[in-house]
Amino acid sequence: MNGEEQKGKESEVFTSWLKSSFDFWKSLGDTWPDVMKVSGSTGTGDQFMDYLKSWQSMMEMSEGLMSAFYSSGTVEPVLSGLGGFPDIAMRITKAGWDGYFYLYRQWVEKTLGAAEHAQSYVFEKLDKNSFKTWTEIYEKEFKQILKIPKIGLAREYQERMAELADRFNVFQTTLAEFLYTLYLPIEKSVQIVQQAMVETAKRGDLGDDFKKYYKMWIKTLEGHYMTLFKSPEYTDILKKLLDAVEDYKIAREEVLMDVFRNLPMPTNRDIDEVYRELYDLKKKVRELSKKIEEM
Amino acid sequence: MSEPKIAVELILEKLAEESERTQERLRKAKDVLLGELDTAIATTPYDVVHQIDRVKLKHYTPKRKKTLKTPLLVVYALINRETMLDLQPGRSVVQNFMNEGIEVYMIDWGYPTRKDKFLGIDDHVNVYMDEMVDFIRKKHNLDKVNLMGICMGGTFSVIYTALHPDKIKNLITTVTPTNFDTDKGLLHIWTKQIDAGKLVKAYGNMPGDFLNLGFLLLNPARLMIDKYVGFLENIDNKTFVENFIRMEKWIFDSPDVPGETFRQFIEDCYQKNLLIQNKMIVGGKKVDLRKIKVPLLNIYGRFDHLVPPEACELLTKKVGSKDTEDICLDTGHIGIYVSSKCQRELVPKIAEWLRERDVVARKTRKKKKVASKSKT
Repeated sequence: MNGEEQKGKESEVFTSWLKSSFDFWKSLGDTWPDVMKVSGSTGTGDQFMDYLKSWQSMMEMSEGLMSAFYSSGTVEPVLSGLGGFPDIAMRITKAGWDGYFYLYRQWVEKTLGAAEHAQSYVFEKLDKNSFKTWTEIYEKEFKQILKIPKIGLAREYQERMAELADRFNVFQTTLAEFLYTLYLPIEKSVQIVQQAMVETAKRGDLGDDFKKYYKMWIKTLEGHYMTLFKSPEYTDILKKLLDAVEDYKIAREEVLMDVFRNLPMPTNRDIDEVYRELYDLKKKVRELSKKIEEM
Repeated sequence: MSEPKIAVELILEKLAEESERTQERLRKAKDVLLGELDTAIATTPYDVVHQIDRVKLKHYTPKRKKTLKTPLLVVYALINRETMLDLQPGRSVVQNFMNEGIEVYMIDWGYPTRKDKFLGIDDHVNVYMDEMVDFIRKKHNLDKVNLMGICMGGTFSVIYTALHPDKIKNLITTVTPTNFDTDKGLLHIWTKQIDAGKLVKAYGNMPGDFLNLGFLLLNPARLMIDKYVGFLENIDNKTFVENFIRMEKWIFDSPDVPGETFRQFIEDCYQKNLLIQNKMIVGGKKVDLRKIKVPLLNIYGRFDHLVPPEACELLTKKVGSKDTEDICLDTGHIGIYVSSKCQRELVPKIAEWLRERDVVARKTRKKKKVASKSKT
């Protein structure tokens, strides 16, 4: 089995397991009224029916969220998740190169007399508040669903699954916020150089060397990054990202260990225990050998 | 109105020229990139003379007559690889040492796997380094060896010398952080906030890719954009491309760092700054810098953004040795080993410094022999 097939298998196992554990709660909610009827109980009347309705609507919402989560194509990124530090680097690099090409295009357009049509450089139509808003909505609405107490034989598995869903969402939002913070200096520095180009173009001496503007841009960008990186705000968001990455990775491994426990292969925890014992044994053997040599 | 029109024509002409030049460059670049490129690194022949677990001891024999009786053991950091000291013929610290008649041993830390996550600083210093030192002492029938540490390997070398002062003759530290209480380098600022224990719990070992991303983020404008703009501008220059690829090979050849070592290094050094205060505990023993009484040569880079001078220069004042020297070179963290200017300065200076102390040691030994003869 090659790597891709293996990955496909893992996410297939994970998807079906995830779905079955969700279905348990869904079916419980659906069959509850029938169970009550058979047992002759009406619960506490209207109050019970209200609770049941709200339970069912919550489960419907939850189903929407979960189906997106376990649908094919979503699970794989969750599992492979952070295969990705090079991916993050590529995304930042791409943003930088976009800025470079944008400036070059602006320079060419302006030299050809199109300065008045120059648009202000906006990297992404993102607003910092959108992260805050999304986080608030997530915390208030979706996270509550994930926090529903789990019961029954599978409760521990479901708890870990809910934890993973939560950590994954937090990680994704934090990563987006972090990348946005890194994009900002690119946007700002491009705007500064673009403004300088507009002003020089108006004076009629834009010059024929793009390199001059490139150097100005890279120096401005470097300065903006240095200011950003030394700021407490950046250190905070960096710490937030690291925490989110770590929490997500730990939650992901917990779930994967549940999945792998049913397969004939050892988990990281099993292997780590063996490695720890091996480490301690080697240390003891080394100490004893030294003692023997000294005798 | 006529002037701007002329300017536009000139610019169009320039753009056309530029476009022609670009086409020509791309044509040549195709030949360069599809042709044979010599991008091999670490080509100087060596023998692996000793190995413990994943850790190897490389041995380089000098081509000319040995000018020092005592061999030099070079200890590189656990981050990136020691191949940086032998990037290419003509730009190789290792070859320069050999040309100076110095016999070089170098530790290759290898590629840690999950099995190595429990290995701490104690294991690296008191097991791996100590075994390598003992091997060299035994092979050469010597009591002491010369030790040179690089970056984190320098910190390990300082710890080693403080714990095993009787096995080291001369100590050379290059771009070695020992005082971590500074806000001059971004690493020093960022690592204050890191929960190293949690990182290690999540990852086991610290992934090399993770560390590399961190280093790229120290200066993304230069390291992720400008560097590659420079590459594109010289893409038709075979020598430039070869050198560039060699450097890329080295930079992104990043072994993972054993989890426990990473945790200890961040917490004890970067966050608590224990080493310089003589409070660090390694292998159950306190690391007391005052126990370092051997000659110490401390070299660092004025423009080093990873290990700024403030992180290096306190060491000579804190050790017990009276024979110490600080050298601050006008370069950065890597430039100290690979820039043409430093290639001409670094190794000759170290070789001269070692030879002076080797001579002194020989003279002292001779004097001692004479004294003991006269007594009898």
